[in-house]
Amino acid sequence: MADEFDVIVVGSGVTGGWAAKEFCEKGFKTLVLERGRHLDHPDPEYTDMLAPWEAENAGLMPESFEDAGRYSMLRKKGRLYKSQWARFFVDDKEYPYSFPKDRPFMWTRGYQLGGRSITWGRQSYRWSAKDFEANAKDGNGVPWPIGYDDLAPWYDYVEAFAGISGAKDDVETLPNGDFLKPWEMSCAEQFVSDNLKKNRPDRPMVIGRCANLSEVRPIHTELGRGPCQARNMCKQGCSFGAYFCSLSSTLPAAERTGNLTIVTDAIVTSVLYDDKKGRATGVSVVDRKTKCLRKYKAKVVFLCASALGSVQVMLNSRSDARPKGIANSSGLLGCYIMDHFGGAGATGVVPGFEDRYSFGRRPTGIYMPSFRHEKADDVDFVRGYGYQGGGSTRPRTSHTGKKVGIGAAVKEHVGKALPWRMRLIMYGEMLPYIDNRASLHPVKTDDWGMPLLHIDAYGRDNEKKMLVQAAKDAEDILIAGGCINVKSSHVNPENHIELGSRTHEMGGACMGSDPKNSVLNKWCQAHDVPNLFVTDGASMSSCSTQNPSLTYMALTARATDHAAKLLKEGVL
Amino acid sequence: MSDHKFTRRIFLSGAVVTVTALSLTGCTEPKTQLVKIEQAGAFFNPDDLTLLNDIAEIMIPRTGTPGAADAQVAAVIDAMMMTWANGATRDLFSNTLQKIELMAETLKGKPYSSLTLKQRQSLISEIDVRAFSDEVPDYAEGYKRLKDLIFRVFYSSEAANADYVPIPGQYRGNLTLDEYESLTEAYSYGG
Repeated sequence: MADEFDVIVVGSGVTGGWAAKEFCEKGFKTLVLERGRHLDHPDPEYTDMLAPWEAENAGLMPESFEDAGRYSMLRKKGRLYKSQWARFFVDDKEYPYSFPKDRPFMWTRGYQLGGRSITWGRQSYRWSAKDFEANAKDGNGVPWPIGYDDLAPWYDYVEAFAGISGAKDDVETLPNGDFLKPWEMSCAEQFVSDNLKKNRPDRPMVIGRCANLSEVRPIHTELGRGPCQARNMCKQGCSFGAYFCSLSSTLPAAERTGNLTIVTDAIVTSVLYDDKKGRATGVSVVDRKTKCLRKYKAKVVFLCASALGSVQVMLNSRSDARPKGIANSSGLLGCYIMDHFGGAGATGVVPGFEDRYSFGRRPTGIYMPSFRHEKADDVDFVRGYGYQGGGSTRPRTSHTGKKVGIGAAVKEHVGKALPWRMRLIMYGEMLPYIDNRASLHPVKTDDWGMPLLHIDAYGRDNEKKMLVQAAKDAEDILIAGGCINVKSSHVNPENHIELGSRTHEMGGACMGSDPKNSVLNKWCQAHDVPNLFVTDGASMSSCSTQNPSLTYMALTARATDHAAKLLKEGVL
Repeated sequence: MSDHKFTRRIFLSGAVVTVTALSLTGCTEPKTQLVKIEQAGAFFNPDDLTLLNDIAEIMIPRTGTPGAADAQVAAVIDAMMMTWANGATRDLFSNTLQKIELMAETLKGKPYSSLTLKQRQSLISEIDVRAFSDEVPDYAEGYKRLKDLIFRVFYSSEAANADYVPIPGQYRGNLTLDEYESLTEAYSYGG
């Protein structure tokens, strides 16, 4: 195999797949390096064709894993710690990272070809102009060097290929796109949404937009992708290719050009750098299985290894001349780590509809974009929060395995239809704090010799205030929406606000116009190293409240277009 | 006579291994209506399996729909002792079954296997109430965990999910009961 390429893409998840597709389709010999194992599509590791009763150990993970301290963070996530899909998540005992004892950070990773695009939540929302203006407006973090208009055509582009279902809701803070047909709201959700239109038009509730094919277009079928079957087994891999995943979407598109090379089990430890030319020359790799070291060379390097993964590689790309890592003349590499935070919400009963039922398992919920972009008099924090949740399925009485009661009467009580319910959970926008930071551990390394990433990031006063208000607002929304028996709750804001639970970690190599206070320019291109690009979550200068993957896709497609032009012009 | 057979995919250290569990056979005692399992499982001996199978069936009996024995709950749990449980849980469950045997002697004055079905139902019901009471008897933890597992295994079984629709193909959120039932019938395993 030749070890020189036009482009090296580090990572094969949402952004790595996009970078590979774009470069390959533009004619560049592209190498994708994935640190995890190879997977096909569909793959024998997919478990989506198993009936629930065929799940290993009834969905439970072996107790010996807990005894051995394996998957400690995934266990905390509860719903993700299941035998059906744990194989697609990283065991943090095998791949440890570091955090202050009293400030844990939940880093959820997927080390396999396709990365976390196999298990992502598929919620796909454009960010709005207000999101890109936020830092400049309230003075937190680094002002974005781009606005919504810069990204809008790229949102169009990636949405068409990925296939995003949704309605044109005409909400200023949630821009429209050319969506596939929206999923249907349940009668309960429609009732609440309609009531909000009347009672709180400033707080719209729309059907969630998601990367599941509610219908297929030729751009999807030509890659063998089929329509979503409403099974809601997405985290188990989708044999239908019905949700956007690198394995079924971008990587096959890249592969059919003949320009793609994929190497798995290749852990990139650093970006190679020519001090004289001031350019990246490739990457250094340690083989996951053999631990042998090798190098790959290319004209351009795209880091798409996830926000924290890319930051780790950059920090570790150090030499005597660059002791703080590559592209770090600002000293801000690793700073401004963010994530959406939760911890507040509300539930309520939707009256009526006792003769109505649902069928199928819809792959999305409802969505309420942030309505607090402008600081209001009733609160003493900046930015805001959105809500996700909904009531797609009519609840039923559950069994009493954890309660008193046995026998025929108890059994007959199970599975009876209950009133429809609605649930809202907050997705808070945390501020970009310069000292929410990822750094290399001074001493500890993993089994491959890579210094552990030490992550010290947490929510502060602004986030604590948001938590309390988000519970109140959720309650008000459900009441305005016509719900009864509404109950809201929030975690104790004085406790540590742990980040990472939403798996939306961002920042660490923020974009900005000024090389003195940012790592990347408006093209996700390192200020210091013109042929090094970072297009994953690391590049984000703020975190908005919308799920970020669609924006990563748009940023990646835009950056590859720019890099390709520079390559063709001979600049890179 | 009942015949229990099943195949399970077991998740062990990241590898998928397919194993076929033992086929458990049992004879129903005419007097007590107790199904006596005659063969050892992967973990439990025949007496333990007899007890476990009976407790599970008393908790979730066959009515108009299948019960725990139909769903082979005891056989599944027996396999899970090898593929899921750690040593502490194995000991806990074994001890819990022993304690239930002892409770039969203490509360009903006879070995469990000699009790009539009514007496066994009454015994397990009493044990259940006590386990969840403020009294917190010494068997409470083991009993609660075993009960939770029995319910979990049953309600994720094929027998308990006759109307499970593997591939709905669509989502509808505002159906009448007739519309819902006709879609479920058309798309479920039984359809």
